[in-house]
Amino acid sequence: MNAAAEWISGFEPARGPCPGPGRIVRIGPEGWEIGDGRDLSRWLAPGDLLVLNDAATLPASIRDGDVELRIAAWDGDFVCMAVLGAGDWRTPTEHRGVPRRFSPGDVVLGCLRVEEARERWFSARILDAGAFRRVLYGRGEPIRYSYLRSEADLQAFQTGYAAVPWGSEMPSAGRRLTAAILMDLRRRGVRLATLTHAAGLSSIDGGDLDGTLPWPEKCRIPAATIDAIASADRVIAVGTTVVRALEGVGRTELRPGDHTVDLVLGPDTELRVCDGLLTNLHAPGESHFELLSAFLPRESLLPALAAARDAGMVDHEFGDGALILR
Amino acid sequence: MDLRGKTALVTGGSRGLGRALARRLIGEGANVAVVSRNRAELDVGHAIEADVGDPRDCLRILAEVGDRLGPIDILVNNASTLVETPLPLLADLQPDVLERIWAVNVQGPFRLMKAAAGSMLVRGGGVVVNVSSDAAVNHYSGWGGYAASKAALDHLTGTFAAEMAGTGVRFLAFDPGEMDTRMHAEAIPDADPATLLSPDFVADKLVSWLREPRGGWRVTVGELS
Repeated sequence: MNAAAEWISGFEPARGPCPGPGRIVRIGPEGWEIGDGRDLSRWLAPGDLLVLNDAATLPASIRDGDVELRIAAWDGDFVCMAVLGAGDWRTPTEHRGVPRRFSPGDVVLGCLRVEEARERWFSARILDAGAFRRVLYGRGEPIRYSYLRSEADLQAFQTGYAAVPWGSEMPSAGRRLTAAILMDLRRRGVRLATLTHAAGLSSIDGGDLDGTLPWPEKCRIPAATIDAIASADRVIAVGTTVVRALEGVGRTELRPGDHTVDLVLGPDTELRVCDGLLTNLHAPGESHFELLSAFLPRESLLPALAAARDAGMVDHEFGDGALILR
Repeated sequence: MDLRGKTALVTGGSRGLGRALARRLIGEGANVAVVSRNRAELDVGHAIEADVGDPRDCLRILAEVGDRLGPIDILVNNASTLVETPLPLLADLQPDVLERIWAVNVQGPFRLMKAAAGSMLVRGGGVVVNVSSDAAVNHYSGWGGYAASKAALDHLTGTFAAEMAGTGVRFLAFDPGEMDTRMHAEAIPDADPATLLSPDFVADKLVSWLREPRGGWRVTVGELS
């Protein structure tokens, strides 16, 4: 049965960045508990390893005349852009107008040449990487969704440890990991490692194309992270992007280097690397809930998520979190 | 620190100390990105044309380095501005000029070091060097705006050092002394060049410190000799 059908109503979204560590619901096989961001140090033990996605969030939304372009994928000299029509981020995605169609050969933003085009996306060769970056950072914006009430700037969409500009959207699970919390965890013997995963779009058209998400995504795993995983007691992924990277690469062999992963996790997925997940809350019935189901059965997740909802916890990228421990 | 293979970002890299330092670091085997407002002047390392006084440019700088060279191991906030010379008394300094001094000498360096330190923290180490000045600790007539900005940058450096002690992330406020550079000539046109240090000499001293960090959070070039 679709887990979404078991929900009466979902979470309220966080309307924008809010100060403070927010709340976390810790969910395990034995039950659940609600605490705040600082309680991570109580719930984690020396020898635990947190694997963080150090992708920086791109200003992935840029207007081109009457359409909005969003970076769906970027690999070397090629970029794939989703195209959204009339309206802007304040308009729910499914209500955006039908965008004009691009054609192969079109030069876009003065530095992209369209290779393949469909109704709501195109792929293009980047003619001048420096110019593309100047345009993006000059007048591009982070991708925002209509549940937000504030026009938070690109800085607000970065984690504290972001380093490599691969994120079309923020790998938001790690946003709550302030330097203060990370230093406290380190002092208590919790170890930290990073990988870079190109967090993709969570929505394109609010319709058929969204059903095809997530698309294959690139990731880069340092050798030091592979070593840290080998010697860790528990491996806890900070964000679903880290789960997709580690389990996707780990399907064959967890080797360092650059990979492309397209693993879609669900209740039947046998996890080979991750013992736990720190993630932001999302409404069930989406692929996110299916991924959580790889860690714990629905019977463990649903009561805890319902309690979190009833306690007023909020979801989406600026919202509260869940720590899932197998 | 073995500098081979390390990723370094040097702002103000088109001339003077920044350029000399970038060249030394490349010679040591580091991968170096340099920032300047004028790309035509950048002839060493991976060139990034940007203005550290512009918040969007700071994010672009970080993205460019992260994309091309990877996470930063060494950050040198060297770009500095006097904005206008001849240097005015504070009573003659315009408030919007002080804001520009602050944007380049304090806010930009803070944006860069905040991001670099956050990344270094989760990777277990790194170094942030903020170029300081004797003006930060003395009160020289005419230098007030610049001096205050350097004192502010020093203070950020010292507090970061205290907060992140033991994490492997190291902070240094580095006073390079008086160097024979265009900046110095604009500020003090009739200085005798024979009394000034060469940027290459100062860069050598700083690189020796990077290889073996020692002392506290603030160091002058004289203390490294």
